[in-house]
Amino acid sequence: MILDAGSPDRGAFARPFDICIVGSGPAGMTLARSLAARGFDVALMEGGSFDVTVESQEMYAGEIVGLDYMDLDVVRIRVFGGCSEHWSGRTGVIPAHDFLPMPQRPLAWPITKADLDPYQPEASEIFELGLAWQPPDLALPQAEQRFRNIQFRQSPPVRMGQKYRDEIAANPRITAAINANLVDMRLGPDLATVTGAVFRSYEPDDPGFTVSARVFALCLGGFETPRMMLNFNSQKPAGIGNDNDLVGRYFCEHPSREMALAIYTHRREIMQDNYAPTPEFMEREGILDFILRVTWRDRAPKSLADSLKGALECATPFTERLGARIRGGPRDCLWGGDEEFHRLHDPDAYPSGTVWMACEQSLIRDSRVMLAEETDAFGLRRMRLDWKLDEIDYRTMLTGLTALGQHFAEQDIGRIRIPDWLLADNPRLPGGAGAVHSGDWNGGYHQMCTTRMADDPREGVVDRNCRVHGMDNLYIGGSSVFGSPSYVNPTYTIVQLALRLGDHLGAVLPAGGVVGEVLQ
Amino acid sequence: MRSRRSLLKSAMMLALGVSAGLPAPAAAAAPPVRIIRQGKFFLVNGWVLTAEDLRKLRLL
Repeated sequence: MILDAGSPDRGAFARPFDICIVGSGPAGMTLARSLAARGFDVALMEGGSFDVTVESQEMYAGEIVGLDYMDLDVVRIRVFGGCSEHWSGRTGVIPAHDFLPMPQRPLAWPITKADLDPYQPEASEIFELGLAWQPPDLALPQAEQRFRNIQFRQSPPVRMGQKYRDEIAANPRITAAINANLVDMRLGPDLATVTGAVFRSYEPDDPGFTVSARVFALCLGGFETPRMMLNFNSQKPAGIGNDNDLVGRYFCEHPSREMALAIYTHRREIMQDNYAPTPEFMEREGILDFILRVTWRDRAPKSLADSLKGALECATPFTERLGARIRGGPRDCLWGGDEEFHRLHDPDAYPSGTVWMACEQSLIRDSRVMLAEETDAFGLRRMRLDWKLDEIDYRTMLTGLTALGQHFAEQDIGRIRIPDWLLADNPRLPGGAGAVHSGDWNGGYHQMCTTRMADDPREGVVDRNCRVHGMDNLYIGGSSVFGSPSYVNPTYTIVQLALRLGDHLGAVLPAGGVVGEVLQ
Repeated sequence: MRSRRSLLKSAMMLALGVSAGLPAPAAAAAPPVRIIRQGKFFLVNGWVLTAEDLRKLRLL
């Protein structure tokens, strides 16, 4: 069943569950379905409703003090189904070499791609990808082995809240609630066992209710999971799971934006090419991973009059067009004038494109989610984001774009222009740092690594099984546990990890077992 | 309005001036062309070009 936490129906939670999962996004919903299929009693708690509401979304507001970022209350969506309700559907599998340490990536995952591969078919089925497995790289003629020509898969996209709502409602093993806001977690006398999670609805003066379970899983995303753990400090002053001062640290995004212009020498048969560096190129250049997506520019033509006006200024062959661009020629020469004009008569003759780049970010201890002074409607401190990048991040961007430019020139595909801000002596992503927040799009809506996975509790918040170090029965699902971020869109990996966590809990939680006995 | 040939000439002078460490002409109408050699490639005002490109553009 799915009930409203503000209704009397919430009495259904006045019994112990096998597991209490907080958050109904791709991680939480996948874990709930996985464990229910194994016969466990699952409480699935969602702070939002079936649709976006102001009162729910407002819980996500916070401060930005580091690199500019998108507004915190719009970059995530707090509804049943979580961020699957607004994702693009682009999926990929993190390549094997991105799990491993390198000199330029000293902190890596404690698990490998092989640990997640068994979950590809089920994850692919959830996202309706057609192919069960990641397709191989495409052939790529090149003078040096700099790039892989990779393929992404596209989900319709699946909205998990919509796809699984009826199934969850009909599942006798799942008791789900919407409008159930986690406001506290209570620990036992050993301070290593969670005994209950406290929830409140949006009703004024709601005293709240406690869900008891043998195991708890926080599946709230890369921002909200650490915010909650840091806020729950009545029994542990530094917060739950934060004995080593790591909760919220190592915040990573995929630094990304439209980076460059491309003009082509000939029409491309493929609308989009995706270039990622080979491991050898990464190693040789000492850079991190990235993806360069070169997209054929497909724009609606301007009116004939406007096109002709621009064309009179700009109708020139490739070399002279290039020359005009180099010298800062008429602004519309590339995107307006001749391109649009010739598209009307010969759309294949004047091709151009854009280069979008997303990078693996370096793990920086002081790039972090903290608590702000201001509190939300439940008295919990809001988040403060201090996003940082390092020299290697900018060097990765510049090296990657330069290599793409060289590849385009070598193969006479076209020519690439690197943006001025990246060529500066001390580059910074456009949008400034801590000055005036512009909401510039410098990331991929991907918040990762804030409770990262590591075998050593001094390097990460959760172990290889997603259990919080130092806690017997608290687990985390979602992108906050990523050991490092790769460049790949994270949702597919989030679901692989949730399926793996379901397997793990299914093995260590035999029906009727006692938490303290089976999880040690 | 200056002709393309005039602009190109100014740009070439600027390019030569940059490489020779000379001050840019004060009355230049076009932005300076900054050429940085990168192995067999050239970074020209942000564009990654070949030597053949530069010859066609009369920048080399």
